[in-house]
Amino acid sequence: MNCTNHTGALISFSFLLIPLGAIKNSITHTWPKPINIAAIKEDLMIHISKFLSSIPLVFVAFTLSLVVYPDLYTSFDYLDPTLLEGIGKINLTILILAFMTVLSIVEFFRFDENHMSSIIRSIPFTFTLSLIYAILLWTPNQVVGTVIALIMVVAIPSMVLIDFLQLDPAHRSQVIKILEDVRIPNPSAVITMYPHELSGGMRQRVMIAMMMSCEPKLLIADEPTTALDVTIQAQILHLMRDLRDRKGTSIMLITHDLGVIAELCDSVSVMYAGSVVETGTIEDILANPRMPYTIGLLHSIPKIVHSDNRSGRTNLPIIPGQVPDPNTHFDGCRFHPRCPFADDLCRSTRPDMIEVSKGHFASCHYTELTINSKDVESSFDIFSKEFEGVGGEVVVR
Amino acid sequence: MKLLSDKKTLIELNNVKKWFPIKSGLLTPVKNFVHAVDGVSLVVNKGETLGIVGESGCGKTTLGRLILALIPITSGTIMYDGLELKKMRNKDIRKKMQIVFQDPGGSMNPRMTVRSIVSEPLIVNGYSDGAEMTKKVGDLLESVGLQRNHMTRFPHEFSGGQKQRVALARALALEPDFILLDEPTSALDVSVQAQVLNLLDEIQKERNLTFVFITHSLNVVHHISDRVAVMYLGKIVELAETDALFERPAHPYTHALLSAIPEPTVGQDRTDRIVLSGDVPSPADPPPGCRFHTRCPIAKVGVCDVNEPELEEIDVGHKVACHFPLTPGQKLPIINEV
Repeated sequence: MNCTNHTGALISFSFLLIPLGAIKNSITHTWPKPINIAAIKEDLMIHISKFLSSIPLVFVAFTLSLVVYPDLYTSFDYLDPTLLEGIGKINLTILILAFMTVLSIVEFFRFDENHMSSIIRSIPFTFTLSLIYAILLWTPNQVVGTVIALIMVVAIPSMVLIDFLQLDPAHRSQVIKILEDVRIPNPSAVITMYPHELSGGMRQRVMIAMMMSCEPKLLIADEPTTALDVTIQAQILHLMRDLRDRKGTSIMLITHDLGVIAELCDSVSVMYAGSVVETGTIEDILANPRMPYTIGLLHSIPKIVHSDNRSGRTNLPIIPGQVPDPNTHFDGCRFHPRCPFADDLCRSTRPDMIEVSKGHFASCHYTELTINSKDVESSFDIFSKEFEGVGGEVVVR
Repeated sequence: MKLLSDKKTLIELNNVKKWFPIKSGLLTPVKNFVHAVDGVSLVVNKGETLGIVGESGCGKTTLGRLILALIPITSGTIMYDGLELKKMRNKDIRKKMQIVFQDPGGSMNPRMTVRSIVSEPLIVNGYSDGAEMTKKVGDLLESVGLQRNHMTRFPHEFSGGQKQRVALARALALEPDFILLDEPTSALDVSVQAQVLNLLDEIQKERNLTFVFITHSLNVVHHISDRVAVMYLGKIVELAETDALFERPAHPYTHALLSAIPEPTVGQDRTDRIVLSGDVPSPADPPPGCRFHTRCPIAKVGVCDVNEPELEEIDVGHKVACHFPLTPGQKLPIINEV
């Protein structure tokens, strides 16, 4: 593979429209049913405009301390922000992807051979792919094999073609091998199927296969198992763990399901209202959480406890109030309206990330009060009783 | 726990089927059917919460829609309080049965204020709009934990949990006996989900409502339900009281489901995890015999792939559709292929 060409193609793809024009020619030669490049361009324009229009909204996300680390891609091993509904997870993803692209361009001009190749092989791929997948996976009129092959062509410029159905056997077997990697039964039949013919679990596998086809260093998985039932979810998680160990791909998992995180992740970042509030290893977060939000969150999950004399249903512990609108301005801690420990300091000053133990950071002024989670849980119970009658309104006190 | 003798039947389903035709064109005949719900018999008792769990595509939402007569039934009967649902007037059905949908934002008209959203079912049913209506809407909003002054707002001004509260107020407006909850907490944040579950519980006790709670989340169903029905490919495979089902699952599918729940704890022992191989077959072409036999680790050739098991009672109130139901303590063979 010619490294320089490779880089050039990828970087230019990050400027989005240039390479599409370039691959257009190579595609239309052999494509029996020419795909509508104009439509793809339009889709891309929508993506770009969505991204641009989200910038004012995402100002909250800029507090993400991880984004400013220059050696982000090396410290990224298995980082998995636990993001919650409405807290800007898509924004975070876009941000990271955009940041990495900028980073790779900078690195490109600096021309450090060793450094560069590691980034090139990892990050821009993810960027291109995550944009492509939104467009192409939902192209219901292409068979699976074509979609995967097309992605491979865009990502790996040395592979020239492409009509999948007239693909030469070498490329065909390459696509089949990728599907075999994700344990799809009977891959030679699956490549001629349309997306709607596959079940949910199979579609997710094909999805992962597409992403893995370019051998990325980082795979960003945004709620990969949310639509699946638990038996299929177990299979997909098993597969992702397996790929991670076999290929050495880092996985950034975005989910609201703490159970899934416990299954797959090594370290966790918890996000609340646009900023990371706690970060640490999986043991730190699940067994010894220090930020009140994390404690309340773990406390409010319905647990399956076996007991013989379960007399009726008890009330679930809650975090009172609602997640604030991302446009709301807070001087202090964003969690303070819902926090039992909030005082004037919390209302006026934003807490820094405090290292509570090695590698375990929590963004709270009162980490000394949260050493024992049981105390915090009972504080939450008392606090939520006080909250009654406010009607779930966030009151900025 | 209520005693068995206290239970009165509210809804009874008898061999209910819903097949959706697959047509290939305008003039061509029907090619095949999607067996979305295929012979479900079920009883919903007054004042209970019946949880229905199953993966997406197993027919649980279709079943809910059939119970509410939102879609016509293919065959079988549904009785509501001794009356056949088919013969009831639509207006009467809506007065007695209401629904809360999964996506609270999508189920409300964005151009209507909360007051007009909540009062609409009342106006349709002949209540006059006026000061009394304002009072009634205010009471309803307060009963779901919102404030009176929220009624002038529009749906977009609320967060997801609050929208779901408005949807619940609308469902409660006609004082129904029965509410179908179709994944009401799936779209919500975990901390807000707990609030909504507590509210549902409270309202049920206050008004003696009957709930059917459709969800794919086993934690939630364990928390909220008195009884649980597990669906697989359009059929109920197991039906039992919540504790019995979670402690002594008798169907291999239920067993696998329970063992696959990811728990947010560290250092968990995952050696007893059963990873089912294969995928759910298509409901357009369900396998012969037991529908689960293609993935079942204890299926026997010649029995399971030939005869379809009936839903039979193995214990008081514990029904299971399996030729070889698991005895308490029996473990499934663990297959650890992906």
